[in-house]
Amino acid sequence: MTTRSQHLEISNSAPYLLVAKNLRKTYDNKVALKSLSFSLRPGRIMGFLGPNGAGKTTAIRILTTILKPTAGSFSIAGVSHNRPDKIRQLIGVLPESHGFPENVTGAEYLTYFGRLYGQRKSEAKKRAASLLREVGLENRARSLVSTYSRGMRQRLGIARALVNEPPLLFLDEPTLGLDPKGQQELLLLMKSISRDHGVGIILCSHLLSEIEEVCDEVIILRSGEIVASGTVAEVMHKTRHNNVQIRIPAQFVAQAKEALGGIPGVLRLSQKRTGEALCWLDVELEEMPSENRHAKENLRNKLLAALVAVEIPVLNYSAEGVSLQDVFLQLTNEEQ
Amino acid sequence: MVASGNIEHESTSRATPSWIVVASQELSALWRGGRIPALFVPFSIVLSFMSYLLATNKELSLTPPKEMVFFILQVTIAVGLLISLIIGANAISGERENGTFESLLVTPASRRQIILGKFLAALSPWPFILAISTVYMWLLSPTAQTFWLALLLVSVLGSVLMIIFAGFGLLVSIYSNSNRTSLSVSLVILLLTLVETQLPSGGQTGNVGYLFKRIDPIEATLQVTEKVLVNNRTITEMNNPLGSQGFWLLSPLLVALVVVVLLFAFGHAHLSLHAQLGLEDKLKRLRSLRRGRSSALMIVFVLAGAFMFILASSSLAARALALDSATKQRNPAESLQISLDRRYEVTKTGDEFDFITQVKNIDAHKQSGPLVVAMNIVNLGSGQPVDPEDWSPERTQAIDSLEPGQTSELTWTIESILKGDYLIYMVVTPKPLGSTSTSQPVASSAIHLTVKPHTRLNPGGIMPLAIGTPTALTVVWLGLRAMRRREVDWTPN
Repeated sequence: MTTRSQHLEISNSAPYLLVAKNLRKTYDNKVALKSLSFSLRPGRIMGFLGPNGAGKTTAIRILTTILKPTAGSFSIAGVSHNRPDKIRQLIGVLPESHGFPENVTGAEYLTYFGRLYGQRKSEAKKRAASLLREVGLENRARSLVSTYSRGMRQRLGIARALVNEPPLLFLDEPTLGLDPKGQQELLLLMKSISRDHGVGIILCSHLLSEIEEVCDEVIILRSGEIVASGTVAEVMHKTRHNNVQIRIPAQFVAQAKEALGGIPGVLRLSQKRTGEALCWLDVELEEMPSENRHAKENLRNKLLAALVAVEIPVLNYSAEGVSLQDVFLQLTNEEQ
Repeated sequence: MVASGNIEHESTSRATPSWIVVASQELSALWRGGRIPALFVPFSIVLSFMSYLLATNKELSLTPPKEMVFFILQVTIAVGLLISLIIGANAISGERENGTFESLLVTPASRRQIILGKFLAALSPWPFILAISTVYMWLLSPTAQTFWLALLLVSVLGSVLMIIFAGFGLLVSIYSNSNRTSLSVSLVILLLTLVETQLPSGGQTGNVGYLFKRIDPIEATLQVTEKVLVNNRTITEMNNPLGSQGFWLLSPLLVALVVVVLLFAFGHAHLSLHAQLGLEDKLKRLRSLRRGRSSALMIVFVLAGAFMFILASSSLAARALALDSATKQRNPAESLQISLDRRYEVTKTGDEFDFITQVKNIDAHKQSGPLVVAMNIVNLGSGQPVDPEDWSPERTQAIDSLEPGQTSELTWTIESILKGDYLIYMVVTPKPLGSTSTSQPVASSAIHLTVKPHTRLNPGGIMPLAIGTPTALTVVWLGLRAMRRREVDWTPN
């Protein structure tokens, strides 16, 4: 733990590894990414979160020189995005749902990529062996990749991304399709890579638990826009976590709104999923200082009491705002 | 950071160029484990079968040996084209389909070098196909000269075709997102180039047929090869823009140049993760052509077509002009005598011999006009009529004019194409004055030519190689597979 905090202190004073300014990408008339600005220091792990189509993969592809931004700029380790050839030397990428060539072994695969980065054959072979060891595949070095399990392939993909010892790593949905054990192994691997090599990582994921567990910082994207960013703690704090959700039969909605609307501290009432027999009522409460937990709890109880008083059957009652999952859903569900 | 700095430094000092790395990776995917060598086995079996039939079958063995060689050469080119085209067409769209392309694109390998590496890999089977076919060409060639000529023609002209089709497949692949699209588009185009040869003979002769033969690089190449190998023409004769044949190799050379330029000057800019202006969309849009890129493409095609048309028709016009001027000549003369230096000749198929004719102006006073001496060969047996073009590089020769009493000697070369019993005789005729006048030919006595079969073309000579070559290739293929099996660890985890 001490090493981690020391490490963070060091990296906080270090210059930025990645600086992105107003990155924008449009296809014909469609906007894939509106305006993305952020920065990352060496050795930090940043999570990109968002539902499908939020622009995560577009952002990654721009930053990995696969796509050209329509507007905006970025630099990696001081190298401008106008020098894609130099940028490619500095990054390692595990693309989303990537494949492997047929009929190659793990060692051959890594050696090939090492040579593409300009390593001599002997050098590339040596590096391949050490990477396979690092990702725990040394026993399968001479097996065909087609015989690997999904988890092994993902680990091989990460080894490939590390072949040029990049200071910055992009991992797009690395745990997709893995079983919980495989996911856990991969997360541990990511942490150790970041810790042992001081590698900055940008991790795209739709799994919030994953981001909460390994990321130092997070950016939540929706429809190509940043809706929240900062450290995981900051993001959770920034967002409203004062909501209460109540599940009641649909015919009582109007009555419930009337009963709750007058209570001091209630800001807004909204109804999710109309037209069904049962529906969720979302109650937005006034912002309260976080140390005043008592007042908030009292208010919640008051709401419940008001509903009970007018004999509305309450089927479910939940106080939101405890995990990043809720923040994420709240931010990304709006206007949907 | 420090480590990456090291790698960058080393890469600038002694790195293998990316195109070599990409090419060697592609080559090992194609060759290691015997994927491409596996195709050689059926190829050699087909050639063995063909050679054996050509040499032993009663009807087929009547084919002149040079035509047999040409037949083998055609199959060789066709198989080479197909393999190069398919490998080329898989190169980029295959990576896109397998999801391996993004990983390649984020490496520092330049787009152009990636294309070069893949292009070379697509060409790699050709030298081996050529080597296999060499065995059969040697087997069927009546003379060493025919063999070397065939080998030279197929290796030079065939290679031009391979460049065209490997490059073309690769271009299609660059613009396709799936192998299905790139393969079907490339194969349809390949088929279109073959349609012309399948037309009834009327479609192949007229001006349109003539034009198609010249535009189509495969057909143009085969025409040159056939005329030079079988019909005793020379390469220069077939490629003289002002001559009667015109410039046959213009189309293959031009198309090869265009393909290479497109590939290396423009292709790399389109080597994106997903095919920009993907062929899939283009095919859908073909129904409703809109302005913009599609019409620009159309214009390019139309211009290219017009260019080709002008080229071919100008060569046609030149031919017509030459014929016309030939008819506007002078007076007939009857005081001519023509004789030969021998009465008979016995040869074997493939043998060449020379003979001499003497043309004498027996008129005491008058100078003769320009004369044409023509050779004719009559088959005395029951076989096919003889095409003298196959038998001699020169079917006719011209004499400017003869003074009274003067004699002119002409040398003729005959190649014994088919076994059989023949008469060779000559005629000399003055050129007619014009289109409305005619002239009287004078015939010589004849040479009785007996052609015996060449000993090399016997089944006994064919058999060992016809069986041996596929066997050897099978051994090579199995060997490569076994080597690969030893390299790979097969124990399950």
